[in-house]
Amino acid sequence: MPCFDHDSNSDLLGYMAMAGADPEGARAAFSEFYGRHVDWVHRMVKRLPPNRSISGQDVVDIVQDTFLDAYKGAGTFKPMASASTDCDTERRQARAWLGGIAKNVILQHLAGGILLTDVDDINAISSTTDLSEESALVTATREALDSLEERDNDILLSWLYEYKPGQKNQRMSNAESRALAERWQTSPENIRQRRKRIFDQLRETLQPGQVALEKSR
Amino acid sequence: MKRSSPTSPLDTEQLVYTAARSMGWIIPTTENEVRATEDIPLDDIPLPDALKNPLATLDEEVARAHRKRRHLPVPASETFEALARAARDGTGDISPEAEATMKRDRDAAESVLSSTKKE
Repeated sequence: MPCFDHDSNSDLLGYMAMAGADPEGARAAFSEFYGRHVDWVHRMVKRLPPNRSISGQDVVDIVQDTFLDAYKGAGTFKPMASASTDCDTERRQARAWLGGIAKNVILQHLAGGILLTDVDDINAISSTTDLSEESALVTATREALDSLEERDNDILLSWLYEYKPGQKNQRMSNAESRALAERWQTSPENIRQRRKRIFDQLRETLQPGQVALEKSR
Repeated sequence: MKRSSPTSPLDTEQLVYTAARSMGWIIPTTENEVRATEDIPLDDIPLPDALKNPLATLDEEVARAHRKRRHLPVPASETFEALARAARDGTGDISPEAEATMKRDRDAAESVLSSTKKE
């Protein structure tokens, strides 16, 4: 079996993309790529909040599906142009791409198997968030999220997985609200209204902190 | 000109996203987000045996189950319309047709899930 110990992640994905021409090489490249990242992907999935839809065997399935999708979509990986192309940056770019795939797999899982996003779209995911995770306002938000009841937590988590940072007033997809409606034995419209109420309550809770921060600037 | 602020009331969604990300509720999808996660100690969460063999993931059996999961039947739209109508009107009545559709969809989904688990 070929040795890929010293290849970059981008190279490994390139070998995987040529599975048709060199199946053995693609499998060897997959083994190396998997070995480099499986612990990280597994930890990221395990860190997700306790949720009735993601537990036990589901975690294993999500990790396996993430790598299977990465194998099938290896040709879509496009390393972002960066001034620094050191090993750490290159590894993080590959993991960010894997994270996008894992996110999509979880969405499919929550939506009962419906494919919501193509692997091709994953390269387009980017974050424009510039709030410090340590700010008092974020801490207050964390406390508010921690106190949500199970159904609201499920609704918010599903919304979060579709949320694209930087885009305002995003709606929950029909597929997602239907999946939630089925889980909670209600209608998609009720789920949408519940999501709106969750945000109204959060705004009410957080507004004093937002106003204070705005004044201090 | 109106000044844009990342913490204006309109940005509660972004605030929730940032807080959720810091709580580990979001899978990192950018280089910076990945960097922030790489300090978490590895030994905190051991890898399950089922994930220790890379090539097992590519096995046909796993791939077949994977494909089936993607093709689970989606409940018919009329079922949702009936549920929405019942919720809106407050009657709680669901027509026998909608109930039959719900049962059929549920049976089909359970059948696929059950055969996937057997494999």
